[in-house]
Amino acid sequence: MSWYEKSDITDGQVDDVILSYDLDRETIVEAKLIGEVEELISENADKFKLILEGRQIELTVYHIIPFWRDGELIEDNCGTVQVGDKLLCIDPEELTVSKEKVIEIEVGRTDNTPVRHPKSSNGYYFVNGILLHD
Amino acid sequence: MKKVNWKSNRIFKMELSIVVSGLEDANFLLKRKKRVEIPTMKAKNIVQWKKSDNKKKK
Repeated sequence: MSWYEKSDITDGQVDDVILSYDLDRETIVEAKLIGEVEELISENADKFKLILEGRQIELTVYHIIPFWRDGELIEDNCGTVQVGDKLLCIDPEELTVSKEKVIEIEVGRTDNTPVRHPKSSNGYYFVNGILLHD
Repeated sequence: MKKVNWKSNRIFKMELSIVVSGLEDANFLLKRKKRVEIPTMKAKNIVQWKKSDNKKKK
């Protein structure tokens, strides 16, 4: 039994309650989507596919992501993430989080690629179970 | 207190972000199911939107 369902980013609606995280309090929180999900076309921008054990996320370089290196929290654009850094991942069934290692990074460039940008009430949300900054 | 170190000096535009890869089941948010209550034992792990909203009204 799960209390949360996967919802494609493109289906996000204003006021949807989504899973998020409070880095200050180190706790899972619910947030709301604010505003429509922006859809843009990206051309010739750096993109990075961050691959973890069992999940992955592909981001353009402009996207800010919190990650841990040597136990230290860093928030920076995804191009600075290295193999071995850890990202915060959620288990929506148990409502627990864990820091999971990036095991591979694939680098590429966008080519008339559609990109989506959700915005949440607290500035963070999980995509593919991985915590991102909006 | 959140500790944030900015490691990069790259200039970037905030308006672009997630790339949709086109992979099946990729790029999903986790949305609360409607009319489903989180059991008490699990609910202690999360600050629910409705509860925090109610607290603000008191």
